[in-house]
Amino acid sequence: MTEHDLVTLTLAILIASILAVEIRNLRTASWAYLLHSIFLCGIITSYAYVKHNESLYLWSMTCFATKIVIIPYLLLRFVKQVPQTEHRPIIGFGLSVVALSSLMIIFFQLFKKYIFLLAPTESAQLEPVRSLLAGAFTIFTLGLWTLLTRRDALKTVIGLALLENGVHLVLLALTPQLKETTMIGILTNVVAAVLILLYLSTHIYQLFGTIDTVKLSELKR
Amino acid sequence: MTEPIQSFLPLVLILVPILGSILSVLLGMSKIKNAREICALTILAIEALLGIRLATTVFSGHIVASVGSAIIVDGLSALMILLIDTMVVLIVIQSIRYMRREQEHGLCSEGRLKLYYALILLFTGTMTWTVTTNHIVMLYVAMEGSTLATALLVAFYRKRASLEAGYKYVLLVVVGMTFALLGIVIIFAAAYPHLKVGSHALLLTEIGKIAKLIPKNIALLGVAFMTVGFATKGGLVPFHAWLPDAHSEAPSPISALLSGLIIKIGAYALARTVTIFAPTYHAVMVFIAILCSISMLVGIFMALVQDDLKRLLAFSSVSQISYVFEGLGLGTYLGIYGGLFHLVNHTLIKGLLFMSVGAIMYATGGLRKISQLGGLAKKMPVTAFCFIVGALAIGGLPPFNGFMSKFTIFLAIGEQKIYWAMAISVITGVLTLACLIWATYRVFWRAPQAPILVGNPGEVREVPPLMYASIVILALLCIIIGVYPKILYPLLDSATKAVLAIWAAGG
Repeated sequence: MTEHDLVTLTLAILIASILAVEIRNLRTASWAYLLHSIFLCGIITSYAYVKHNESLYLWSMTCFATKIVIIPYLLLRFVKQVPQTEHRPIIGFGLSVVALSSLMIIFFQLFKKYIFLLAPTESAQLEPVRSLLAGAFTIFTLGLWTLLTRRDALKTVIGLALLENGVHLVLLALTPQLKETTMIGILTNVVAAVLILLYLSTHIYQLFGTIDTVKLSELKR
Repeated sequence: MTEPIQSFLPLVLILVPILGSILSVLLGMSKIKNAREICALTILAIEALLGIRLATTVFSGHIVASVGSAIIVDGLSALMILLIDTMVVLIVIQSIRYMRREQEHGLCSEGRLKLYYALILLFTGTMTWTVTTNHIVMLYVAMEGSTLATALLVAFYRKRASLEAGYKYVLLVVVGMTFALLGIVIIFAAAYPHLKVGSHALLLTEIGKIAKLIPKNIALLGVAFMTVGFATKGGLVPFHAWLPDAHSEAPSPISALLSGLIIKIGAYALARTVTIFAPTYHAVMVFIAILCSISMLVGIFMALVQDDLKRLLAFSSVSQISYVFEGLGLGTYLGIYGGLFHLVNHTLIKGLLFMSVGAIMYATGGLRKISQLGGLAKKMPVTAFCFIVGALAIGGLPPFNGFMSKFTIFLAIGEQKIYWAMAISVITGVLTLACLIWATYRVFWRAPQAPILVGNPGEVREVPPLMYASIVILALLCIIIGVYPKILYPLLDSATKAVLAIWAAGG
C-alpha cells in the first residue's frame, strides 16, 4: 500500500460523499452513503496497516458494523415508508455542485499552504495525511452544507452522519498511531442519534404525510 | 492539589440510576399499583443520600477518584451532583400527579408512562456521569447520552408539535456536539506530543497542565469549536433554535428538567474545558462575552413578545444562561464564582417557574397562553406566591437569590473592564424584571379571560399538596439563599477553586 493509494482512497470517499448528498432518489442516495462508509472503513483499515496500529482494526470492525450495516439498513428501511424522491432542496443541483467543488479546491489549497496551523506533529503535515485532513474537513463542511440546504429528513440524517465521519477522519489523520484513537472512534458513534431521528421522522411522516423539514414550522411563531 | 481518595462511591452514583431505570421498566410490567413511581422515588432517594455522603467528603477538603483518575469528584462535581439530585427528586414528585392527570386525559398511554420514569432515571445517570468524568471524550459521550435520554421525553406526547420539537432538539444538539467533538479531537491531537509517556492526553487534569504549550492557533481553533458545541447544548443565540420548542412542548416537569439541568451541562462543560484556555488567551474571553451579550439581548427581547407562558420562560432561559456562560468565560475567580452561583440559582428559579406553570396547566386543564389566563391569584394562592418569588428572583431583585449572583457577575465583568458587556447585562436584568412582572400581573391579577376561569368559581382551584410541595420547597430555597447566601459560599468557593486548580496545575 503506497502513499498514492491512500490519496486515491481520500478522493474516492469525497466522490461518494458528494453522490450521497446530490443524488435525488433517496434509495440511491442511501446506497451512495453505504459506498461512502465502505471507503471510510477502507481508509481506517489501510491506516491500521500502514501505521502498524493493530488496535485500529477494531475500529474498522465497529465501523463496518455500524456505518456499513446498521445505519444504511435504517436509512433503507425508512426510505421504504416514504416517497422515493427528495423534496426540492433549498439550493439547486447546479449551484450546489459548483459550491461543493469550490469548497473542495479551497480546502485542499488551504491545507497545502497552512497545514502547520492545524497539524501538531511533522508527520501529520506530510502526504498522505495532508490530503486526508483536507478531505476530512471537506466532508465535515459537506455535512454542514447538507444540514443547511436540504429539506428532506433523510438527507438531514445523511448530513449528520457525514459531519460525524468528517470528525472521525480528522481524528484518524491527526493521531493514527495511538490506541486512544480507536477508543474515541468507537465511543463517539452517531448510530443512536440516527436511530432516534429516524424513529421520530417515521412518526412525523405517519402523522402528517411529509418529511419536509421546512414544513415542520408549526412552532416557528 | 491534595492526593485524591480512591473510592467506588462515584461509580456507584452513576450506576444506581442507570440500573434503576432498567428495574423501573421491569417493575412497570408487574401489576403492583404505583410501582414505577415508588421505584423511581426510592432509587432517587438512595441516589440523593449517596450524593450527600460524597459531597460531605468532598467539601471537607478532599478529592474523590474512581477507576484511576478517569472519574474525579471535586468541588464543582459535588456541587453539580447535589443540584442534580435535588432537582430530579422534586421533578419526580411533581410528575406523579401531573403525569397521571395527562394519562387520564388520554394524552399519553400506560405503556409510554412506564418509559417516562425509566428515562428520567437514565438521564440522572448520564448527568451524574457527565459531571464526574475527568475524561474529555467520556464528557462528550455522557453529554450525548443525556441528550438522547431526554429526546423521547421531549417528544413524549407524540403530537405534531412535540415530535417536531423532539426532532429539532436531537438534530441541533447532536450537530452542535459534533462540533465540540471536533474541538476535542483537535485539542487531544495537539496535547499528546507534550505529555510524558504514561500520562494520558484524554484526562482534563492532564490537558490543563500543558494547556500553555499547545500552539496558539490550534488551541484557539479547538476552543472555538468546543464553545460552539457547548453553547448549542446551553442554548445560546444563535444556536438556540431547539430550546424554545423543546421547553414548551415537553411535559412541564420535563421543561423544568431541561431548563434546570440540561442547558447547565453546556455551562459545566465550558467551565471544565474552555476555561482552561481562557486565562492564557484574552480572545477567548472576548469571544464568549460577545456571544453572551447577543444571546442575552435576543433572548429577553424574544421573551417580551411571547404569549405562551412556557415559551416566555424558555426565551428567558436563553437570556439567563448567557449570564452563566459569561461569568465562566471570564476565567477569573470572581467570574467563575458568579457564573456558578447563577447556575445554581437559575436552576432553582427556572425549576420553580416551570413547575408553577405545570401547576397552572394542571388546574386550568392545560391553559398556558397568557392572553387566556388571568385572575389566578385568588384561586391558586400558593402557586401565585411561589411564581412571584420566582419572577422577582429571576428579575434580580433583592433580597432574592438571583440578585446576589447577577450582582457578582456584574462586578466580575467590571473587574475585567469590559464595560459594554456589563452595560448589556444590566440592561438585560432590568428587561427581565419588567418582562416577568408584566407576565405575572397578567396571569394572576388581571380579570380572568378564558371561559373556564370566568365560569363557576369552584372549577379552577389550588392544586393538591403533592403538586405544590416541590414548588414551595424551591421557593423557600430561593428566599433562604437570597437572605442568607452564606450557606452556599463554602460550596461555591470549593467549586470555583476546583475549576481554577485545573489550569493552575500548569504553573
